[in-house]
Amino acid sequence: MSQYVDLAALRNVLVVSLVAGLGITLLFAVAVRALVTADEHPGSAIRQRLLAAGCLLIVGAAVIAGLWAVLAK
Amino acid sequence: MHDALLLFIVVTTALVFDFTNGFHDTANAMATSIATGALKPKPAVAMSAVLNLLGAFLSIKVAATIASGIVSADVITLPVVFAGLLGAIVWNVATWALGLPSSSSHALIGGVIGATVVASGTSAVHGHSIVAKVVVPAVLSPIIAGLVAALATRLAYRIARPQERPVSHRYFRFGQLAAAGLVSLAHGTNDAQKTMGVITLALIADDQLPAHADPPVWVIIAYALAIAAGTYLGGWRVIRTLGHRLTHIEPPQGFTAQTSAAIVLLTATQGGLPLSTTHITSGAVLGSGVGKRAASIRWGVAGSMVVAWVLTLPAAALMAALIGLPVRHGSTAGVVLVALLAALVLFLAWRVARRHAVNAHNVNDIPEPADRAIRDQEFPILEEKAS
Repeated sequence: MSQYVDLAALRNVLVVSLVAGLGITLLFAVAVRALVTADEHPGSAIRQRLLAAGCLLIVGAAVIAGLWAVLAK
Repeated sequence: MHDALLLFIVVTTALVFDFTNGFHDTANAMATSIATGALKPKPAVAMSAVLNLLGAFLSIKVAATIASGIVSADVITLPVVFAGLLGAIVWNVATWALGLPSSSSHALIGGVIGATVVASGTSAVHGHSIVAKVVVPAVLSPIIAGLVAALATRLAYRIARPQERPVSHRYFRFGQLAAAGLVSLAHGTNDAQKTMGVITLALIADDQLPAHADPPVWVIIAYALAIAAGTYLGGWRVIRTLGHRLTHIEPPQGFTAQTSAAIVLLTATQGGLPLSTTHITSGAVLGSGVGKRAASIRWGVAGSMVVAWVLTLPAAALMAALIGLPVRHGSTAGVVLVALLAALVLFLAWRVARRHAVNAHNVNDIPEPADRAIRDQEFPILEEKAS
């Protein structure tokens, strides 16, 4: 198998994809949950929206960094 | 004069291939966004077209990688490139008519292999490269994308609980659009450049460019426009298959499928692994179905897709070999005749496909049997009570 494919590169793709995919999904889902909670409970809206904004900022930064890494290579 | 005509036909054939690549692969980025209603069909394909166009200009690193290493560069001639491209076009149009998402890149590689074998024999084909660049990635890429999408879907449903709070669908649709944009951009950086690479090799073979030259500016502009135009036309049949026939997709699943596909695609590009956009997105859509509890997956459709994937390379190679037989000696008249014949056959195929047209207006109308099969599996108790 190793003579046909770069196993180290493949392992990197698998690990990075899992970490990035699950990390972005986790943050985005938390942001969605916070936004829905803010809609349902206006009393805690500011705190929930701040949480959502923080999560979305991290997601945005991760995406930009990832794109930069790919395109600058 | 004859050489100029031959070169013109080859360049035009490559443009047509790039166009079919665009409309065949629109589904990769936009099928789930259209299926979940995140975007209307026409704006969705327009957005994908613009991002494909942009992506084609962002980098030329992928250019020339598709043919180099697969076959010996010194056997590449204009008739070989012509036959290879035409074999790939025929396969793309056939799978589009059947609504099957298959890899345009594999069709192109298969076409180049078939045309080379006819022109120069099997010794000019590098079997090791085919296994490393085509076979192994074809097997692994949908598995990786499917695994990431399945786990991400499970996570998204556990945290956001969209079944109990359907209002969350609105937010997932926004995320889905951003991820679909990333897939479109990545598709433009990969697929448009594969054809640019092949046509650059043809120009080098015809002594129009020095060896190891980068694609000229006119090639980059022309092929970027061709793939964007094809994307805007929209391969609605493939969009319907990926968006509706494989599994019923909700916005959270659309988000996780597109995010997983974009991440695997970009990570593989960064790592230098040549993966197929079609295989990755199809695997991710399937994974998003597996990841959602009680979701129904139409394994028959998935099986047809896998059969198409397996057949893509040998079928395109066979077609290119058949096309390559009469043109392998470089006769311009032969190439002109074959090109006219192919144009006629493709026109007839398009006319036949139009009898059961799938377009922007009816792409989300699932035919009754498929609709019923999904309903029966998702709401069996309701169906029993209703009857």
